[in-house]
Amino acid sequence: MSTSDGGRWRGVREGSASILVQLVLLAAFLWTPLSRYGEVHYSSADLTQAMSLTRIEPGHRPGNQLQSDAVTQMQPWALFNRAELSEGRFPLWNPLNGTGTPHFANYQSAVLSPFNVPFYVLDFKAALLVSAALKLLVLGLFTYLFLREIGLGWLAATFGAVAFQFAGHNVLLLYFPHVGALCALPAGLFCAERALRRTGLALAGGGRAQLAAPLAGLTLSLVVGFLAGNPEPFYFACWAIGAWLVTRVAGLWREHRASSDARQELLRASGKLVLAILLALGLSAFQVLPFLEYLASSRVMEERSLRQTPLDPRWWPLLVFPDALGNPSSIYRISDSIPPPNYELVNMSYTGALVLLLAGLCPLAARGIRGRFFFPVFALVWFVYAHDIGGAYDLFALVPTLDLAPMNRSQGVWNFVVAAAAAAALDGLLRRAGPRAWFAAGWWCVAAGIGLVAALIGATRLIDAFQHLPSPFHRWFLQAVPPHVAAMAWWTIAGVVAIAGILVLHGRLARAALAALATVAAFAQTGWLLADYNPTSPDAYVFPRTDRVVALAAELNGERVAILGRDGLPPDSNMVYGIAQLASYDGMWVRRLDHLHRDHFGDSDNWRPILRGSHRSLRLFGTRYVLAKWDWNFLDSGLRDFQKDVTREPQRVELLPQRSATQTFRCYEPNLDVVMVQLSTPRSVRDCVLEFRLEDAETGELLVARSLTSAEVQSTVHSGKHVAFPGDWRLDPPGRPVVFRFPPIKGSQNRDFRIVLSCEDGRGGDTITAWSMPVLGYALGVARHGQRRLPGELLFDWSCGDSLRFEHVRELGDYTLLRLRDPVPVHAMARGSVVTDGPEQAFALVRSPTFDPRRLVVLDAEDPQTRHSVVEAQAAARRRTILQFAGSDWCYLVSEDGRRIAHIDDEATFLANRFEWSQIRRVPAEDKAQYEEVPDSDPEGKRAVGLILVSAPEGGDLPPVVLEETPIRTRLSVARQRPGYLVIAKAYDPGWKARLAGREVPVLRANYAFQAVEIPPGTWEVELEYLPDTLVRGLWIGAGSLLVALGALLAARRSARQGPA
Amino acid sequence: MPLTSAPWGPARKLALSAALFAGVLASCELALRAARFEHPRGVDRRIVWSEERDVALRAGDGLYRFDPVCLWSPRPGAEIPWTDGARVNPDGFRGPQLELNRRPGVLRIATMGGAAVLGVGVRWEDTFSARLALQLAERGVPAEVLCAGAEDHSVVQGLERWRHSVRHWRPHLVICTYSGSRDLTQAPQGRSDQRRIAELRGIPRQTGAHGLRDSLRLLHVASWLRDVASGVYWQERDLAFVERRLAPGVRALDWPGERRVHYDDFVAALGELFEEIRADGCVSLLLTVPRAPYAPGNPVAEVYQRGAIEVAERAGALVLDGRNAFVRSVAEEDIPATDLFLGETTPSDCGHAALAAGLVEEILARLGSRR
Repeated sequence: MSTSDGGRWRGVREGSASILVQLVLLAAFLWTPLSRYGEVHYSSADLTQAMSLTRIEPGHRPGNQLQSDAVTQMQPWALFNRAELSEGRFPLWNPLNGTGTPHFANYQSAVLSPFNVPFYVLDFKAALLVSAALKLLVLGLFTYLFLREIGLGWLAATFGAVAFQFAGHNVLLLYFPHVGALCALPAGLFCAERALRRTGLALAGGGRAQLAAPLAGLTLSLVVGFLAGNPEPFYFACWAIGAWLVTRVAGLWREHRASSDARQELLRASGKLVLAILLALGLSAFQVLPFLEYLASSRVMEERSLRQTPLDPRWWPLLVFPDALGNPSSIYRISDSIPPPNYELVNMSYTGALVLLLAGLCPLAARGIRGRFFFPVFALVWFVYAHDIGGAYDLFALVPTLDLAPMNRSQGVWNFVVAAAAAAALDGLLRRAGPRAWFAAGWWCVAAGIGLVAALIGATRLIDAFQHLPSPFHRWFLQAVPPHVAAMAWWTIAGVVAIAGILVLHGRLARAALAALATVAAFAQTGWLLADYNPTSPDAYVFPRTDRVVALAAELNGERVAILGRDGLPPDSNMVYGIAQLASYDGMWVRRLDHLHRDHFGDSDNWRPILRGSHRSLRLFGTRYVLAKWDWNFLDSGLRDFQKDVTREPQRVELLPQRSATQTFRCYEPNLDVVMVQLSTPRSVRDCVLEFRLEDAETGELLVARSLTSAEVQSTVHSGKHVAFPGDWRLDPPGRPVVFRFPPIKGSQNRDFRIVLSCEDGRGGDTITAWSMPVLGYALGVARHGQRRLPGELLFDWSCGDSLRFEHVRELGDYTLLRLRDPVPVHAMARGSVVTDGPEQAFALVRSPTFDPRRLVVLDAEDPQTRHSVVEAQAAARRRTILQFAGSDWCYLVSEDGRRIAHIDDEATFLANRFEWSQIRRVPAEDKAQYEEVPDSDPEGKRAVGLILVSAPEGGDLPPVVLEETPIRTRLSVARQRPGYLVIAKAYDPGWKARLAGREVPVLRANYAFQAVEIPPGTWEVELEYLPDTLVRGLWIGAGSLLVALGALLAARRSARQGPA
Repeated sequence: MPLTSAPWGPARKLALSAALFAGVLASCELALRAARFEHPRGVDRRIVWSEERDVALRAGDGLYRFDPVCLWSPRPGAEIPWTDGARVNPDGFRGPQLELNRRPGVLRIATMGGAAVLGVGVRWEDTFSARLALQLAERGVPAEVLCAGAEDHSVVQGLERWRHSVRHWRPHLVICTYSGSRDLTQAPQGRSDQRRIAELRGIPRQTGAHGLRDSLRLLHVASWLRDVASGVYWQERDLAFVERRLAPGVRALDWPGERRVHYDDFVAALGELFEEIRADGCVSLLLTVPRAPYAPGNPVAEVYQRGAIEVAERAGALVLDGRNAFVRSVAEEDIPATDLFLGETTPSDCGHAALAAGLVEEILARLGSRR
């Protein structure tokens, strides 16, 4: 066997040993899901138990609340991808959230991520495990290869691989695509370094470097990074790869500048590296371009245009004791937002104390090793940047794109450079051949000891600072924190002693054993410690198909539903059940749609829950169904938002003999038929009866009387079915909205009513309780408790005209499904259009109370498709004469010949004809006699005058009929007597294309955020298809890049065959 | 001549390392001081009064001193901060020093209690103790007052103070104001007054800086690490955290925390005090000091006060409800109620005057009935 063969075999043996070590540690890390594979999923899906619709077991404590994104995004999306691909469709569009959102372009959908492939070929449970293991293995393997490539021994490289594999970023975000995207960092560095090393060897020994394979690897690594599902860690990985390349090329130049070929060879190698990077970009263009298009129309850029929030350097002790303030997946935590902003964001930079201490040793110990200064300097620069030390962020923000990049997604890069620095230091120590370094070992121990004690003092101060905050978990402090601190300290000490041992021992075996001990210590401080951060969920809790969910899906039959409050189905987990809901959480949000959604349904958190709204909002958003909890439909409520603020503390109003609660209010609706009152009872309340009376506030006439026993209130609140959820008011004892329905009271509009709540057999602390808020919800109401006037109002509501607008469909557990009586479907016809100057005007018009989406469509003149025709139509309309006769509010259009006049029905007709208010001429009433008035009953006559009518449907007009519908394609048939618009209540996206009888027609931006297609008179088949131009362009670029790549490979192969020049 | 210097020998290396080590230790000491790291000895970490008050007690130059029998008591000769240089008398009481033996024909009254008795915020002449002596004398009953008040004293401390400091002055009348307002408060470190008195009795409390252990922060760290490793530190922190979290609810009847004196112990100690006073041939009087109208409602205080009155009545002690005196003052002298208070439970000079007036009437009435 030749020497090179021997070296290769040794390398293979060492590599195999390293992989074996990594596999063993990975098995230890995944021990819980592996050992309980038959009963649990490796998923945080038990969060579904916090939601009424999917709850199986009341009181279940989710494994980790902070891992909600995995359940609301990554896993439902992976399942959706699989379902769509199995149907032979590419999952470009998510039709089930909001009014549809770009799916593939969202990036985090990770449709083509190699790490999502297990979801397409394995069952869900296996895929969860395999995908997670694959990410960690790829990270570890390529880190090992990179560290070997820069000259580290296998022990140190394994140490570095383990340190990075199980570092904070990678473990805490393991469910997320971020970790997959970060795989491009070690893989890209390995390939780039191999190319540069070969270049260096060629420069030293003459000849041409064979770079094809490493450059192909670099391209492939970057393509994987581009496709892996999150651009943010990948972006920072690119910075690290770029910095390494620049440093290494500069190093090679310094080393070989004496050589005559150095400049040419280095330029050639650099050019090839750049080409490889460009090819990666080209090959990924079909993912990148749609993403950039969506990014431009999303909310992300609005948020990112602000100054980035730096990481807080105060949390430095957590780099040593990450669980000092608790851990959301353990028995002890203060809250999910401690340490602020949350455990995950603070601890993503965690690598373990031993790795950090070793990394600090790198410049001293890693003599002769590449990266000796690069890794510590890069780590230092990152620390200054990410923590905004001395206001350094402003300087970094001058670097293009860095100002938009979220610094709290850059921790993965820090993890890597720290792990690499630690490995380099360990390697330097393992190679040391001098005498026993007792002094160095002593000083190392002293320095490590000082660092450890300083971190311990810092950690106890952090504990002191947060312990006063209330938390139900405090009782577990002693069981959790001291053992954690002790474990971390002892593992650090073990690692430090092992390193000290390496300094003073000479035997190879002894040193190897100590290096192994250090590796175990590094793993114990990261992977082992954080293994349960990604919880497992019992199989039954993984997207459970409860009776309620199944019944809801069946009832909706694919139609959209607005689930009121925060306790329904978290977006986008509804995708698993095939339920379409208005709430949407894709992390990007179509900007205009999101703007409109928040305006209509309330502006709260990322889940975009429905917290207010009206039947008008539902019609605009093409939504027919409403799911209301406790039978309380708060849409159209006149209650002010601050009264609904669940963060306020309501006050108890105990109902006692002679101390009833009363509330007056003025009704705005003609048919009052429902009143809701928030009520509570203690768990052990004795039997008592609540009397509810509704009286006329002026006459005292009794209008409604109802009785309710305490047991009835208790039955749902204390039966175990009720779990407090984030949208509930904080009531102690717990309570619920109790809805009193009664026959509509005619003429209730502008009438004052009084609600009286009494409990004549109640006793102090043992009675039914109403609640008041020290703010005015309706402003005109007065609340009293006995004779005492309460500072605000009771917690009560009366939904306006509830039964007039909504019909009851069925009960679903604690929910009631309601149906809008007069809905506007997703595909509807509008008879006229109004064109606005810009988005602000469109937004104002759409939110106007008189806006009816079936009569008018609001088009945006910013669209190039509409601009030309609009300008012409407006010019023509401006030439017309509009008269308003004295003493009348009506306006008339005068015919072109000036003899006839036609009444302009309303504002919608006025706008649809593109008239302007300044055109109206006010004339004396007697002038009307000069004209022949076309009666309103003669639409043809009115049209002959030149009026576009939008008020009434034409005979022969048929509503659009959906012939075929998939997420990315809809075929409809429409029949029109007159020109009109097909308005589609789906989010506008330039990727949607329309064909009318096979001919492409523009899709217009309608009603601020939706789509419309102009329909001429006649019967048509309309085809709508989602296929973004950016995707097509990206595919072409990708194909071109592939050709170039193949050409380059062929050229390289030919060049290799020809031998060195 | 060699151009390079010879390698360092072990002795030189050792010396350099020792110097460096000393430098590192000095730097650590400075850093610990800059970070204000402290970890006093175990006994010094036991709170006697409260964290803030103990600092002054340790300094040894304040109004109070560590007291081996009742935790803290006025320091003889200490300047009373809110006065113009008045001092605690050599016997540890406020006001003029009395002869140990009673003067014939002079009524000797001892006043015992907390801030109201001590007269926090008012001059000696304005305290109800001083006014009482003066007004009784004006009404033909020569009297002298031994003012044995100490801020925040509970009835348990009062009992010890009676036994060890007041009883041998043989007063004719003992006025007590122990109605529970301090007893119901949160016990520091979860240790009741009885427990702290028992634990700290006989342990000398040091004041001021002393010893290397307390001066060197590095030794503080060493001791702290030992406590961290043994779990003592965590137990103490947990106790402190629990205490801090429970503090806001102390006014609730079902509060789960530890009060300085549990209600049952309060009733028992007060009964014992009255019993011992009676056994010594003295008359006792319970004076309940009212709370300011702006003080937050405190149902627990009402329970304790009710209990105190019941105990006093059972023991045959006189009872004077200070509220009546205040109400009379408001009604007759047209003084706004808030003017009667300096703090929630601390009377102003007007408040003291009202209390004195009430006491004088009560005492004269009793003296009259006895005559």
